[in-house]
Amino acid sequence: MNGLAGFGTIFRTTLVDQMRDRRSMGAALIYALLGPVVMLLAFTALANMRDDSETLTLAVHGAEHAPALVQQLGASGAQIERRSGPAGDEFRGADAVLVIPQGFERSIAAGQPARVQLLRDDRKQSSTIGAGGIAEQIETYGRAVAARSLTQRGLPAALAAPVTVEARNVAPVTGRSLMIVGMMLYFFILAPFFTSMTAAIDATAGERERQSLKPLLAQPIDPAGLIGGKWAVAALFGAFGTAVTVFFSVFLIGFAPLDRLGVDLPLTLAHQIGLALLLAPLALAVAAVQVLVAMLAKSFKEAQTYIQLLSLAPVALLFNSTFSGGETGSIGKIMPVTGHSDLLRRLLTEGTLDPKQAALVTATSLLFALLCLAMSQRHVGDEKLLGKL
Amino acid sequence: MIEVEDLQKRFGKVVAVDGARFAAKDGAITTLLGANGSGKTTTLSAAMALLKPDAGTVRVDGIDVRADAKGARRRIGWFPDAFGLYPRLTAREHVRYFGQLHGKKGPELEGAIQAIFDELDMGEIADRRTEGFSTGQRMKVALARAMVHSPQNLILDEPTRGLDIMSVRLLRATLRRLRSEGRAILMSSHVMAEVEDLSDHVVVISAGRVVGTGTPAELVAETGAPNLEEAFVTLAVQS
Repeated sequence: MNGLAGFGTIFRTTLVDQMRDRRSMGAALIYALLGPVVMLLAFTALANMRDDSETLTLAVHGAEHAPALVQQLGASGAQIERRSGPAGDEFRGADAVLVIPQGFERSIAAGQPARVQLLRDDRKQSSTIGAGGIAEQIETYGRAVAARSLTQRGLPAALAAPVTVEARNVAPVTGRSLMIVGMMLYFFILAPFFTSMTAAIDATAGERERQSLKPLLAQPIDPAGLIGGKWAVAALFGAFGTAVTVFFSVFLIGFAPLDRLGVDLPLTLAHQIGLALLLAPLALAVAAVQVLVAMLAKSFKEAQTYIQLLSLAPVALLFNSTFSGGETGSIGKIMPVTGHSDLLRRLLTEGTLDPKQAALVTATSLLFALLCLAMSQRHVGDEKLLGKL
Repeated sequence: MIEVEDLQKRFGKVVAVDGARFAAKDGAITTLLGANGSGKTTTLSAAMALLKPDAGTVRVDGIDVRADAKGARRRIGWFPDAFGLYPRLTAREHVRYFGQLHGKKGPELEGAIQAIFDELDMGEIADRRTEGFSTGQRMKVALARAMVHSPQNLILDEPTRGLDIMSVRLLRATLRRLRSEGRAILMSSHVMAEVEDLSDHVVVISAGRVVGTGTPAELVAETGAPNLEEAFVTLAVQS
């Protein structure tokens, strides 16, 4: 007999058993169906957040003291609300508040620094971004005034601004797109962890708890056949659940106001299939780790606890990648999770895929799966396992 | 035939089996008779190669179970003390599963399943999921599962535990039929009436050691006790 005796039979029967288990099916489908709904809600909320391209409301106290400045701010796109009286902490619907003191024009005419007060509320992103833009506008106005004064005195206007900065964003996609893609990455990479979890635990620790593992072990099967059959079912749940997550997410994203966010992602059917295929080896590796952990756990509950904790691992790894500025190290580029994140990020933003990197990530994922399966298999014959029956 | 020779098994400092030696011959029902914790289940688990003995050997039809566990298991039907059923699978799916694990398939397998279901009167429960089955119904599934590949040897761990009288009678009839076909049956029990009624050969185990062997009548005669129960108590106390 080969070393995989029992694999096909165990796989088929475990699959039937797991597909009849409402918990396993529920866990796989709840993530795959509800996850994308949560993502759609998050994107819609993001679209409703004001961004820098939208009209800014600026409340101006003392507008009559600097009519030229206020006019320029209005001309640059800000919606000006002229207010009288002293400015308080209440913005009353405005994004930022500008307070112009009496004597503003007089100070400028006398060549004295003219002070204005610009109030912002950092609890609101629209206020932080808006106030930043207004401050730039005021500085530009100041430089124009300085240039005019210099010209009147017969000096070159360039003295007012000896250095000119020309800022240009070279990223092929907008910051908003990156934020959206970052959220999608989390959803997609966590999908195998959640969709195979219950099947992996039930087929191993659950089988032990139901005391059906001992009669199974008393049959003429190989440990690799037993572990392989159980793993293949969990991996199938993971790969299928992940594919559903990807396809359903993209379907629902079609309803998100991405155009309002200025986001245009390459999400053709080919890209979706690419995403699902890239994540399939991750599903195989994740199911193998889950089977190993469940085999080592003393009980179903213990297995559940450990595997839920395990699901935090990709979050930690992806956080690391996020906080290192979206750059993944050379080892990280070929490892499961971080490598997948890197590949998916490119596929989602630029629509490109590095085949060599994809092959390496797939190879390390499969190697990882094999390693975990070999370790699980060694525990099949362990008397301690029977002691836990 | 199942031959156990000088079997020893320890769990830490606890000696579970201490030099057990006996044989379960073809065409006979051999019973391991012992109190709870006397080492019966450990001995049977070692016979299935589920436990690795510290010393001694177990041979099934001449096959050393440690050297060729799969080969030995192909020749054994195993009926565990906890039936260990899958609540979401039907009775037929259980039996088919184990038949397939023994390499059976197609009409041959389906025919074998149907014959067992007829013998055990399982028609009504054949295609029902086992969740909610009574103890008697669960026993039938476990027994059918152990018999589906027509093994030469059958090992049963406390098979009558928790069964009603009708189920016990059905089990006895089935075991007698298997014995008449020349199969070796090794079971464990501490129910005297069952041991006396069924057994051709009794192996009395106490604290992991074999303290007496023979037919029920021989054990009674040997100890001078009025019945098997008293004979068992005498042997256990002497040890």
